[in-house]
Amino acid sequence: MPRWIQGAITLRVLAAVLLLPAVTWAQQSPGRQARPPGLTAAREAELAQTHPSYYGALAPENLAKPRPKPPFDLTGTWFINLRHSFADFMFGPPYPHFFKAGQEAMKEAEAARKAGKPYRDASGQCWPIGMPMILTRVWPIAIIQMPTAVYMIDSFFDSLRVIYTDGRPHTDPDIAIDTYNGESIGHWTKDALIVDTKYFATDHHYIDMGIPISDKFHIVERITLADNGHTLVDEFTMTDPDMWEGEWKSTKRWIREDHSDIPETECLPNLNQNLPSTEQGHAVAEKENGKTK
Amino acid sequence: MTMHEPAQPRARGSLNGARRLRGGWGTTAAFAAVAALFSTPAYVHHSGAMFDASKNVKITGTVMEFHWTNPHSSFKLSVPNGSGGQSVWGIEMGSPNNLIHEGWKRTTIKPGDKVTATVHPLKDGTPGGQYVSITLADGKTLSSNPEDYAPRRSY
Repeated sequence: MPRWIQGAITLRVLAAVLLLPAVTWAQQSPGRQARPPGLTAAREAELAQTHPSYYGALAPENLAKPRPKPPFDLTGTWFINLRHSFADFMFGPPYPHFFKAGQEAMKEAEAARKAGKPYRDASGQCWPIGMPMILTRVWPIAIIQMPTAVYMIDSFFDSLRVIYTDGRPHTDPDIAIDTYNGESIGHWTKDALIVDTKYFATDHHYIDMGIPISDKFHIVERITLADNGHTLVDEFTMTDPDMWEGEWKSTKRWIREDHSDIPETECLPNLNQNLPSTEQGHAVAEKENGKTK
Repeated sequence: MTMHEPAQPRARGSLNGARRLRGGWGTTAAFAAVAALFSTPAYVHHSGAMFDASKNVKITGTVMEFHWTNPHSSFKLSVPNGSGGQSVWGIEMGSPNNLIHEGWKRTTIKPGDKVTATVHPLKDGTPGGQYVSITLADGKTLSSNPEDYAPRRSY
């Protein structure tokens, strides 16, 4: 055997002997265990929230499908129009005939107002605002219109709403997941975007001064552009047979704000501790000033 | 529900719709709705019902901390309480972008600065309030939009 081969073998044996303790230690050390196996295709599909039988809204194959051209493009940054009245961020009056829960909410809200206390101040405790009130916060909304979906990103709480316009139906109610902005399915007419939204989470989800909703809450919107594209008009028709009689209608307008963007705006409990009008902040103020009961 | 910031909404809209409420409960509801409407503090992500927008209180003290954050900025002042001790006043503000429009920077105040602040105080007497204006140590005054923070109007 040539000497250079003997030398190479010797070096490899030596290296193996020297590295063996390190390998053994790495295998035995709790913090240095061998990496777990990778995801299976099935597990990856689950975690990536893939649909079993249709493309996602941003799949090239879906985007490329031939579709009629929408009558307008909603893409832009928008802000609720409060020029006529600041109260226009609310959806009433007029109000429908509320059943018991709504009637009690109106009375309790008034009593709280007189007492100088907040009422159903869910957002002050970082609960999601939810539809429809998320759209009328005094924060800008970015709207991105794609051929298959309209993405609405509200600066406030960084809330995302997606309106699917790729022809998919609503999710089967047996597997639908309730959310605060609901599931929105839209379709274009010759002059409007019609949106149907349902499957709402109801916990701490209120309208105006604290009107509750049930799991039967349903919104239909007719969205158009006016003023040469500078105003977005949304005509809401809201029903909830468990909470009020008939239809609750309200029309809201947004102004295109071409010099604005959407800042990240998280609701953080520890920051609320600095705001004396929140429950947490008020408790902190009492504690700091020796008023804790 | 609520919001934040400037105190009173400038509600000028028609309220005729309130008359559409039905039944004996309708009148009560109409008043409640209108009252709630006008009492809803302007901006915010939470209620401003705890602040007394009809009062302006001026306090002079030392800045303890300043938070330049969305959705609300805030600062705390250590203020002599008249009994030999100090009170801690938490002052709630609008968003940094609101403040930038008024001339604020994230460096405008820092811990240790002596300032005088005007606030709408908490209704229950706990030290704390909603920011209206501030006079800095160098005498410069920054103020929120006076129309936003105007005391409640009669409608």
